[in-house]
Amino acid sequence: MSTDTEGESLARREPDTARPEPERPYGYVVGSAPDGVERELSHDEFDPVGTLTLIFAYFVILVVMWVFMYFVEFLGRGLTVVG
Amino acid sequence: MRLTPAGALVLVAFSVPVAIELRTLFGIFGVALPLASVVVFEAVLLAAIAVAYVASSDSDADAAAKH
Amino acid sequence: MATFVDRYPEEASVVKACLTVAFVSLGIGAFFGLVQALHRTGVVRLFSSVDYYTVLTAHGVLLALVFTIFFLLGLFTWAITRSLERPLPNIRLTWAWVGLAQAGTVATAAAILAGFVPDIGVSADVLFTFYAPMKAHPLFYAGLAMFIVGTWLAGADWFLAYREWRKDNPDERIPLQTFMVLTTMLMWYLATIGVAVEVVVFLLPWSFGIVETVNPLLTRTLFWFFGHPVVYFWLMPAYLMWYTILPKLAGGRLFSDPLARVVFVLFLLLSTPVGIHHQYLDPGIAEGFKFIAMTNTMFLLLPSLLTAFTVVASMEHGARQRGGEGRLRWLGALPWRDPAFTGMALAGLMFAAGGFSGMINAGMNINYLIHNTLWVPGHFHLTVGTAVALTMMAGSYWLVPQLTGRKLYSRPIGLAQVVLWFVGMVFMSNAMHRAGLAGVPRRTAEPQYNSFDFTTTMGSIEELQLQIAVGGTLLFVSVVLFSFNMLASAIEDPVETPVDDRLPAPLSGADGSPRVLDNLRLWTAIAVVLVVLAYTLPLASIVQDAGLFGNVPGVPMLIGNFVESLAGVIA
Repeated sequence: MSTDTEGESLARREPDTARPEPERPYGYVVGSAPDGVERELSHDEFDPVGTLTLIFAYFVILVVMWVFMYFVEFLGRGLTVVG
Repeated sequence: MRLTPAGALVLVAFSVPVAIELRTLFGIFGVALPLASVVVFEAVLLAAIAVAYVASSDSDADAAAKH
Repeated sequence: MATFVDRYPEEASVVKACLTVAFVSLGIGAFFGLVQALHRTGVVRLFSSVDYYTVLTAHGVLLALVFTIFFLLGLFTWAITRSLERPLPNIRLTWAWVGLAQAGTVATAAAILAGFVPDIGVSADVLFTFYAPMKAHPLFYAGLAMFIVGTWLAGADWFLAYREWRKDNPDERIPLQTFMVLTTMLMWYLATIGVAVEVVVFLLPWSFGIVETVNPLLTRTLFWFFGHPVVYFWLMPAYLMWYTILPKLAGGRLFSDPLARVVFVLFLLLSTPVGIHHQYLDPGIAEGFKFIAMTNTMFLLLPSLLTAFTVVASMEHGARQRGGEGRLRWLGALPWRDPAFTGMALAGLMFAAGGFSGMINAGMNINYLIHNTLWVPGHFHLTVGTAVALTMMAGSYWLVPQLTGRKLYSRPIGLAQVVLWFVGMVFMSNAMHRAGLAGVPRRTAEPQYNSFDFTTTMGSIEELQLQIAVGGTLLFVSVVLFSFNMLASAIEDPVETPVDDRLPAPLSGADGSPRVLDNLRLWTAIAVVLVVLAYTLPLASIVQDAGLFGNVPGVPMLIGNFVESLAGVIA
């Protein structure tokens, strides 16, 4: 009973339901994202510039938080004596 | 790029930590905001997502009408 | 287009048996989590604080050990069978380890839950970190031993399957999923030596009363010898899914097979010689040994950062194939309505956040800020509680239909469930980290004190408590939705194609990569050498200080001796 509640037009759903395979359940089948592929990209055609962007953003957040931690949480407190 | 309902749902989820941490960010710069400010931030973010969603489905409908 | 259950019906039953145990313990464990979140924040106190440690032990053991490891047993059985393309060599051996691990789990769970009924006289309120001086009923340790032996036999079963495959394919590269399973199990064999010695040689005889005393620091150190690599035993199934399933769910292909192999080899090498980083504040272990553990721990960031790159690049490949453009706009082209994809992607996002707090924990000096505070549970609810648990739940939406031949009951409920988990964990974990910085202790039923108030840098303690309670409630609702969806899926009618189970080949395959990556003997040997280097001297010094069984005056109150010998070791 996987009813598609996203209210999409029937035309949009067509690639899912129009497949020739028998007994494919109605609606979106889990794992069927490859059906939405518009173009095949080989290893050499694929340039992961979006990954670079995300990883760089992560790195910047990391550095900023590290510096923040050092000044506020570490230098901002008294000495911790162990032993 | 059309904003799908599922995409909008994920954006709504992502807006929660953003709203919480905006208050922290202000705190770092010495602006102490009350708890209610998180609610306000979240409301603003939700409104922005709603606008983006409606706008993208409108432009999508326009594109469909032209065909 | 037949799916897994049609090709390997026996193996599918094994996987289902494992996942059933995992999901039942997830349900019980999550309930105890809710009870705890409401209790320690003072919102609702349903039970006496005396029982807090029973609840906490049940929560920790059922979720961190039973849920995660039974899911691993099922997933790895599926992965070995699928990637070697053959049934397991001896299904009776397979059912034997399933039965042994299940029996052990029942014994351990019974020992813990009996703590609620004092009349029985059995209790095991020793927490997931079951080292001395806390002592449990022998049933707890015996069940645990059976459970661990069950996992060992499971590994043996998978190695036998690999050996059979090798006979027929002498020159082929090990299939990627099999490679991941085998390296993870080698790491597990090495790591569980610590817990096996701890339980069989020390805790079980002590619990039976055969020996009077044990050396508490020795049992702690043996526990953490196992206690850190066990986190990678939880994480590796999630990594297996991120590397081999998530790219497909995104509509793309794995970016690089050799890079995935490098990551798993690095985890085999570096997971174990780091356990002492849990003991930065233990007296009796010299600073130098702790420094070595910290260095090894920092090296462990490397495979995690490699993973961040490979997995995100594989997702981006899917998005671009689906028509995504731009530096960030491609994110919109990902299949967000697929709960299996969205759950794993959100889990990966939270894992990145968990990386921050993990780096704080790992630093020897910075660790002092947060040691034994609520920060630490905040951290591991991002890692095991989300990166692992959410990936496992999301993966189930794709995996379970292959085992039952029935489609998922409701995709929208699944999507709501994974998003709800994300939001709940944002509230709970964020507040736990902050409360920890304010000094609120972990493992405490009533963290409140007369004439002392915690001061926070931002907001008030009350709002942090509220965030924890709200977050815990949302997480519990999420588990209820997950359980309902799984149960309802079990009674759907079987269909021909319940799920799209094809896994495309990686963009960059194993063929061009160095064959040495597949030399499991070499990597195991190096891993053993690293463990010997990291642990021989600390263990020798601990035994020298207080004896194997701690049979010197003053145990377990040995602080004075420890400080003296600490000075001796340093000098």
